[in-house]
Amino acid sequence: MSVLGALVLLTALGAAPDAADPLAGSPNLQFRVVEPKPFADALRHELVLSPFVPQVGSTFTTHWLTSLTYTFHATEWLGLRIQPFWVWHAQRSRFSSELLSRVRQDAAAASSVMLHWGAVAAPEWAPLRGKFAAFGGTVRYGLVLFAGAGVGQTEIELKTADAVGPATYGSTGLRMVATGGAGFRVQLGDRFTVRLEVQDLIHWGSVSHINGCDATDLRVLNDQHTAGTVTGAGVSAQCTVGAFQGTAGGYDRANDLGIAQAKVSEGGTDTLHVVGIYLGFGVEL
Amino acid sequence: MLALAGLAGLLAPVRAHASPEPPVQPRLYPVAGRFSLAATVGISVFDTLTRTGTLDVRAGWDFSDWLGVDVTVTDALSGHTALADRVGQHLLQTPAEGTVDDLSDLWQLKAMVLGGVRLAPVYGKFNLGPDLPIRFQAYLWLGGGAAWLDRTSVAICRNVTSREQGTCGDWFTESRVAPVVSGALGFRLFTGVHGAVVLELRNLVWKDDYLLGVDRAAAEAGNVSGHRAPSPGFTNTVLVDLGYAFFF
Repeated sequence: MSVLGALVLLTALGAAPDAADPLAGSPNLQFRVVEPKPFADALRHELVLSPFVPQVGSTFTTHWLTSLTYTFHATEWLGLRIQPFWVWHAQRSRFSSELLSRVRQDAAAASSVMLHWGAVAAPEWAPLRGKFAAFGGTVRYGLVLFAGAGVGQTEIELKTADAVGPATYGSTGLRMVATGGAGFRVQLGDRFTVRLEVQDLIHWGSVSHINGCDATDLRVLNDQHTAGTVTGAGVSAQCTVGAFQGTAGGYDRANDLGIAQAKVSEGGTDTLHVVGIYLGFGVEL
Repeated sequence: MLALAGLAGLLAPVRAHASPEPPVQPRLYPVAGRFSLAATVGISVFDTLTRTGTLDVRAGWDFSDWLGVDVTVTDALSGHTALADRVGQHLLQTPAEGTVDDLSDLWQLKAMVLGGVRLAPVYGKFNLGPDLPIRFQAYLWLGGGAAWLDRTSVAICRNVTSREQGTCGDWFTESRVAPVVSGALGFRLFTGVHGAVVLELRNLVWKDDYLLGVDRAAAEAGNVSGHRAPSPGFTNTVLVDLGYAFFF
């Protein structure tokens, strides 16, 4: 964090929200035509946990993730959000499995890359505020829009789960992740919020390395596997040979080498969208 | 005692003015007891093998400001996505050996009649810019009806015109009428007493049906065999609808 960033954060932490109402004591005030915002957001901090975020509209992959969003509300209508996320369930989609089992076709490697974890930062804009009556009460809400970028660790499925062993995955490295989304933020009193947002995590690129190994490394390792033992001699320092050694649920990980080599050699690029429904519960400090 | 009375005297008016009640505005656009007629267009989102565009005409009656019923007649244009065409092409480029299972979720909507209940517990407003307050009603819709569906396979071809190009002159097709269940989340954005923009996210669910174990060589000779999938599951189609409703 830069010095300027630290100063802004310290100033924000020390600042108290300005809730003073200049008309509060006026004896001439009978009705308010323009009602003041009862809960100020400016210079406050909001933490929102979205425990279960399902991906919607997936084609070849399915993601379920958990997200924690920190938002610093610089003004009533503008904030900055930082959002780490962790994908705890990422696998081939039902459609992709069906393609493989029924017509023996697989998605291109570049279209099968999955997010594993990451973090994005984005300015957040709250252009609309309103209230509505529901079941006899009044609910205050705001529309939020945001767009930003970050990074994400990605992986690709090498082997599907079958009788031979569990599904295996290989790391395809860190990628830039762009994000954009919109949603509603409902305030429950001064402290608590509920957010319902639709957010797209966008990443793109080709599969040029798996577990740090490029096509040449994978060819060398595959040759070693064919000869008997994967020693790792003669590959680049970035190549994590250990990821292709040992067993996983009785499955010899060296068998992934041929698949990994084929995927890296495929070429091609794709832009992938992970559109999720984020239902989050927040606290404002 | 005197001090307490004085303190109460000081606090009472302050408390009264600290949070003056906002004026209670009556509902500007009541819909209770009114008939509505709406036209909407829709497109499917999250398409995998099929894509759909719809044109709806909808008649509704609102029993109260929060409860109503609708009857919708839908005409639809639908077809395969480019992905579905590629899957079929790549399959045909392989030799016609053994059997093939058809893919799920290939039924395409052609027409539909729906009836359902609209529950609108939320009425509110927001400001679109400084001088344009928009009153809206948010609703949940649940209902069902009948859908006229067509299906064109991407795995069963009765006349391969080019093995190299992977082109088919006669894909296996089917038609049927199936029960459909629909749910929607929508908004009526009132533009006046007599009209509202309708924006909704609608889900359509029908039972799938397709063939398994089709002999490819026999099918390419025009003799489609195989058996119906015992547990075909359900097809889920999500539409975004946009339209306008007139209130009478």
